[in-house]
Amino acid sequence: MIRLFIHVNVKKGGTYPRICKKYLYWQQLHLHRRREVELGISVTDKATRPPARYNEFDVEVVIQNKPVARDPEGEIIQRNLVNRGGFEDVTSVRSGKYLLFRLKASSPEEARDRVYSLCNTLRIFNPVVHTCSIQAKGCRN
Amino acid sequence: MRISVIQFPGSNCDRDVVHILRGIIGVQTDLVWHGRFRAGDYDAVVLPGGFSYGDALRSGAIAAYSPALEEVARLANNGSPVLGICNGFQILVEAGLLPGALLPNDCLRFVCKWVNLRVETARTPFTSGYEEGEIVHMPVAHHEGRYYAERTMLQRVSKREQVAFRYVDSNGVPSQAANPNGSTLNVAGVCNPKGNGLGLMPHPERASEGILSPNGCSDGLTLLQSMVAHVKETH
Repeated sequence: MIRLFIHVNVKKGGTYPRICKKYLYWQQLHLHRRREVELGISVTDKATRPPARYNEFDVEVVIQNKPVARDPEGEIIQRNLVNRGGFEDVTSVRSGKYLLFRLKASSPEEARDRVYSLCNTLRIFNPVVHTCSIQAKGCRN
Repeated sequence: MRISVIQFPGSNCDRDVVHILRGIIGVQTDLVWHGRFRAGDYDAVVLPGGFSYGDALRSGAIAAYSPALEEVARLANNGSPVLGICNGFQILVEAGLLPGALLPNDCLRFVCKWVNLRVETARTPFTSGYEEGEIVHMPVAHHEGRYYAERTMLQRVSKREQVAFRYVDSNGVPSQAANPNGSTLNVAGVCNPKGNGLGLMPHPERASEGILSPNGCSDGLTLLQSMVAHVKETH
């Protein structure tokens, strides 16, 4: 398809820089589409394409075990550090993994949705055993 | 007949498995880099132990996204044996080819010791050389080996006889003291519904030569020999 496109432009007498620029655009699009197939997600879709005007947002992701799955690390922190250190009113400590994503989006909601989609698509958390909470922080710009 | 041992960045038991399959059992075995693995070239595949991608995110989580796992899934769907040992088990679970999940050990330490296992089913290509209920001896060496599955999933797995091995004491009782990592119901290894995919935390390749075992046993060799025998029968 790409070869045909160049051929047509040359016949019409298009200048070399124009052909080159368009060729690069199609090459980029082709690479994006290959990436879509690899990841199983759409990155060239208009709805998910980064908007022309955007800001950077920090999105926090906290992954922890489901309540039914024991969390030995949290239990040890609670029993052997917190309770023993005099904070006996603390009844539960849960440990987890914290990830901070910085990304470009037009709104915090869009940033959050993008990270939510990313976490599900790439299995950032294991749905068999983990819960995942996602929160967009303020704009950085 | 050819068997493949897939090598990921961070695998460290790959050569041990190749040594047993090629050197002790005498079957043609290739050590294949994960990016070059093609299902069509092999009759069985082993995902060895180690620390693929440095255990980043979760053990096996990154390797589960390797294109090799799509090929492994294709091989498993065709009915060919797929064996995951330790980190290989974690990868198969993360890729969704085996049920459940593997969490950090109950004791929060890396556990490295010999354990007793009870063979729960002899109806898989990997356990056909054992007697059902037989107690075998193999070493474990892991930090994230606590098998977890929700109750409904666990019931389904037990009903379909997908639990292949359990941690037991010397009398064959699955006690808490015999459980090295806090696995649910002392599960040490599970297989897929067809039985041709098995994942287990203990290392059969490290229990395949009497000279390397504390009591001179080679119980792990039976598992690998069973797999090879099955491939020869179906080849």
